[in-house]
Amino acid sequence: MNRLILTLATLAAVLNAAAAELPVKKVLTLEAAKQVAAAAAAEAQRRHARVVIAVVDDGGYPVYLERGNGAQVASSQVAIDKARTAAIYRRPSKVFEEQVSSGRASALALSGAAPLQGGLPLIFADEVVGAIGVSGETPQEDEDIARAGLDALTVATSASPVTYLDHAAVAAAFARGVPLLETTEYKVHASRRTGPGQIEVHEYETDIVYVLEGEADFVTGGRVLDGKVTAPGEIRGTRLEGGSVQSLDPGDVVVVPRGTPHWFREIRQAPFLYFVVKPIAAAGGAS
Amino acid sequence: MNRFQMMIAILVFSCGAAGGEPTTAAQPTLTLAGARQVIAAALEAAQRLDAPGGSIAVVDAGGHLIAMERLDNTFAASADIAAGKARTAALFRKPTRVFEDLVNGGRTTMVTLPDFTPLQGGVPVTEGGLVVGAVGVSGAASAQQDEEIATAAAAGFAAAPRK
Repeated sequence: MNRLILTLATLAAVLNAAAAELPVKKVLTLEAAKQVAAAAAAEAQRRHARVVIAVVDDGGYPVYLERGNGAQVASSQVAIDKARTAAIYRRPSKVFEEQVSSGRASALALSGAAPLQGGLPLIFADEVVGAIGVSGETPQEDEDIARAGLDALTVATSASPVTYLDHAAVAAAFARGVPLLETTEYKVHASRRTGPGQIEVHEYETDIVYVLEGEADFVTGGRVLDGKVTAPGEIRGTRLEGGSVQSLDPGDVVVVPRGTPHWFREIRQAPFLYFVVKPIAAAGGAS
Repeated sequence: MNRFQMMIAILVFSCGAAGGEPTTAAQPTLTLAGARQVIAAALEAAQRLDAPGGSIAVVDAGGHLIAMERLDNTFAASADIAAGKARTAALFRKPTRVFEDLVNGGRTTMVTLPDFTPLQGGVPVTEGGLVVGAVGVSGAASAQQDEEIATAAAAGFAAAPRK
């Protein structure tokens, strides 16, 4: 065996060993990126700031972007640049801005880096899974808005048993009508309706609803005539026989036990906003 | 007065008359809400066509990004390609397929144009006959499907009810 073949054989052995132990890491989903951006957008709105919000993956490639009305057009690219910097250098982009400002002009030569404050890495389980970049207002404001987005991810993925949902994150969730929290034992939704829904039956989830805004006609009970299973324990339909109608107004609470058909038949005043807590019965716990 | 002088005189006169013409024109602009409508229509088409993934970018008439979404498991490079297709469709006010066909048909020199993505999948978004932006799609099952989704997105926006 000559030396080259030996080297190749050693290399192959090393690669095989490595393949067996490749580390696995979490990736940022579009849904998580949207949650981060929504929280940042809510903070921007609170400040009347006109900004672009970009969320990139851990390689610095865009996953989600939105430019608020009236934000300067150049900020679309700058927001992506700041986010990429934070993602691939695994630190806030402000670090490089400070280096340059304090005399380290050579930091301008860093490949792929925009030394501009307003980009923050998104960290999950001690690893950078992406970054958020904000551009359009002052550097400090851009970063503050980015931080509001970052906090939303920290809350959503917190390992702590206690969940604190900041008002900005809750308002952002209601603005879009998305889940606030989902575990195997319970779900908490910030729900929003502008029109009627399908007839629903949850085999494992009890719906505890508190109405915040709007008015709706809500039908409960009866029998679903054309029920289809759309997910484990989830039945949907469009035709209901029987059931009773209840008008729902702000401040009302309604509890729909699991297995009971229910249906938002009409939204009389939109948007209809309601906070829902869904305890999940043991049989559905694993699904 | 010779013929040349007469032409100059007419030119000067008509320029003077043009002084009464409007100096600006209203150009409708796609808002973030409008861009989201375009993306929603694209996602609907992607689902209908059973696309394995996709990046969808929406730009304004100047080619600047307003909104973009990359679906889970879509390859990373598609984000920039989608934006490039949208920008090309917006700035040239034509579907990018036109340029892909031109380049493939032999006009290879066209690829030297700056900031140019002659790949099908970019389609202008119009309102009342005016280009207000464009949508670009990349990362679906094929270049053909990219374009199908982008076309459906632009059509979906055109058909959506206006406030």
